[in-house]
Amino acid sequence: MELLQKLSILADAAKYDASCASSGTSSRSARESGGIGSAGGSGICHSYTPDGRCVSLLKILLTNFCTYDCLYCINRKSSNVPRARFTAEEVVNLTLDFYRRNYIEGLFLSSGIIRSPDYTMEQIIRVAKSLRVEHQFRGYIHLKTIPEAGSELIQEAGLYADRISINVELPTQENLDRLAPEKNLQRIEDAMGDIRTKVDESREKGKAAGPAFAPAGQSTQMIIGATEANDAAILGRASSLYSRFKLRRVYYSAYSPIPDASSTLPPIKPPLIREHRLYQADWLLRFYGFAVDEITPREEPNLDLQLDPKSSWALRHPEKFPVDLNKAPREMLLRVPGLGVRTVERLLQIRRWHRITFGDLVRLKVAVKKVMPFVCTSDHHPANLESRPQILRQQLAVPNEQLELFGT
Amino acid sequence: MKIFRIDPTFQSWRGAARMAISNELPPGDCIFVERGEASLFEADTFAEEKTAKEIRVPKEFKPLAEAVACHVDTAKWQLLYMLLWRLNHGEPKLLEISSDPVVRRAHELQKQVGRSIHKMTAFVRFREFQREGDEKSHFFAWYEPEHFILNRVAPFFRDRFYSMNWSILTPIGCIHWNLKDLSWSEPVSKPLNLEPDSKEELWLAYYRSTFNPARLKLKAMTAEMPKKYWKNLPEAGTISELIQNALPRVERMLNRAAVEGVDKM
Repeated sequence: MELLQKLSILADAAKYDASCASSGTSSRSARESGGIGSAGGSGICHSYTPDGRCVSLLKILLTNFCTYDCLYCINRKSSNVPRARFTAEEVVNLTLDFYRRNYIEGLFLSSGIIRSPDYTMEQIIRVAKSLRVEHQFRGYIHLKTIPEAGSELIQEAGLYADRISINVELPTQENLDRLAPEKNLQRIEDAMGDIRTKVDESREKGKAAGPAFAPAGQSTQMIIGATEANDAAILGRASSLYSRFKLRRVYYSAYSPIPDASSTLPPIKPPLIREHRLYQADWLLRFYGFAVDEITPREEPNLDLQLDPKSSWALRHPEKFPVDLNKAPREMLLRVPGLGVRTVERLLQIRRWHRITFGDLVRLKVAVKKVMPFVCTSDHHPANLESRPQILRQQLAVPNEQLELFGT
Repeated sequence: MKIFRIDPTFQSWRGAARMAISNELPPGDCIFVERGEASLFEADTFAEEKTAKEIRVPKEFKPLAEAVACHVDTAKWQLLYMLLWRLNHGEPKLLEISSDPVVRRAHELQKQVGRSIHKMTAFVRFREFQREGDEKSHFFAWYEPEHFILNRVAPFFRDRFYSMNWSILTPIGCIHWNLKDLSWSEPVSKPLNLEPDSKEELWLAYYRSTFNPARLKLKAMTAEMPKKYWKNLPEAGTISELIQNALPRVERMLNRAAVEGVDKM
C-alpha cells in the first residue's frame, strides 16, 4: 500500500482522540543539544481544520488493526474499515519531513492492539526511540500508552515522550463492561498511578539523574454521550482522576457517529454544546475553586445547556450577590459570572491604587451586560438578585435556536 | 514644538526620549518622527545634553516598550513617551492600572505584536530545494508579517531548525541561517519559482484526513487562522472542498447504518 493511502487511513483512524496539546513540557532546543527541534512554552497550533480543531502534532495510529472490540471505536475488530500499518521508519520519516517544513510541533502516536499489549507498546516505543536517539529529535512526542503493558515498557516510553496518556473512555466500570469488555477501569487507574509515581520521582531527582520521565505529564479522555452517564458522574470521575493522578488535562469528546456503528450505541449524537459545558465546568474545578457538587448538585446532576455553569450556580445562590469588587476576596471575585481569572487579577491589582468604577470594567473589555447584575462598583449598585432570578435567567440564557446552530 | 528624528528602533527612541525628559518637555510639546518619513515639521537640532536627570521606570516598562516599538502604528512613539512622562511625573504605579486608556492601548499594541510573532512561528511553511551538485538542501519560506518582528522571531527559527540551511523571505527583509550564523538581506517581492515540495502532497492528505466532518466550527477555525494567512498556507486550498463535502459525508454514513438494519434503542 502506498504511503499516501496509509497516511490517509491512519490519520482518519486517529482523529477521535481529542488531545492535541504541544505545551507544558521542558524547555529545550537543538541549539543546545544538536539535531533538530525545540519545545517548551505554551505550544503552537500550526493549522486549523474546519471542525475548529487545531493541528499541532502529526496524530496517527501505527496501525488500525486491533484485536479488541470496543463498540464505540471505529477501529474495533468487528468493523469493516480499511486497515493499514506503518513501518517504524515510515513514521519517523513522516515526522521529520513534516517537522522540517514547520507543519507540526511533533508526533502523537497511538495504535490498535496487535498480537499483545506488550508487543504493541514495543512497536510504539521503537518509533520514539529512533526519533530521539538516532535523529536527535527535540520536538514534542505524545505516546498513547496501553495499560495492560508491562511497567518497564511504560518506564521506557516515558523516557522518550513528553506526554503519555491512557484513555479512560467511560466514567464507570459498568459502562466499560457494556461497551469495551476488554478494558478494565482498575487496571487503567493502576497504570495511571504508576505513571504519576514515575513523573514525581523523575521531577524530584532533577536533571542530574538523566532524561526526564514524561515532563509534560499525563492526560486522559472520556467519551460523552455514548452512555446514559450524567454530567455529575463524568465530572466526579474527572475530579477524582485529577487529584489522584495529577493529570494535566481531561478531554471530553462528544461521541461522533462512526461508520458501522453498533446498535448498543445511541442513535443520535449528543449536542455538541454539552461537550462545551463540560469543558467550562472542568475549568471551574481547576481554576475557579469550585467543587463538583456545587456545579452539579444532587437535584441537578446534568449541566444546563443554555447557561454556562458559573451563571447557573450564581442563579442558584442569589444570597451571595452582589459582590463588591472593591472589597470582596479573590475567591468570591472568581465566582462572578463573566469575570475570568485574568480580569480578576487585573482588578485586584488596580484596586490597590484606586476604587474600581463601572468605567474600569468597560475599559477592561468585561462583558458588562452579563457581569453588572452581580457586582457593586463605587458607582453602581444592582437591584437585589433574589427578586428577579427568572428575568436574569432569560437575559443570560442562550436561546434554543442558537444552541442548535452551535454544532454547525 | 520640538522634533526628534529617530530610527524606527526602540534604542533610537529611547535616546531621544531621555533627551526630551531631561529637558522637561511634556508630551504635547514634542514629536518623534521616523527618519525617511515625510513630516510637516523640520527637525530641530538639539545640543546633545548629558542626561543628568535619572529616569526611573518600573521593570515592566522596558519589555512593554520593546514590544510596542515593533508595531506598525507610527503613533506608538508618542504613546510610549506619554507613558514615560506620566511614570516620571507623579504616577509611578501607572502600569498596574490596566484600565487607564493609555496603558490599555499600550497593552493592546503589545498583545498584537505578541500574537503576530506567535502566528509567524505557526504559519511559516518551508519548501525544500536542492540544486544539482549541492550536498545539502536549502529550505525556503515566504511570509508576510504584520509588524516589524523579524529580529524577535529569528532566534526561534535558528534554535529549532539548527541543523538545516534555511531562509525566510518577507517584504520587510530576509533572514538566513547557514548552520553557523544568522544573516540578513534586503526585502524581496514574492519569489516566483518555489515549486511545491514533494512532501506537501502528504501534508494535504494528512490535513484532509484529520478533519472530522461530523463537526463544523468555522468561526473557531477562522478566529485562530484568519483568511489573510490562507494564501501562503498550502492546506488552505482544500478548506472549501472539505466544508462542502462534510454534510453529505455524514449523511451517507448515517444512511448506510439505517440501510444495514441497525436496531434503534
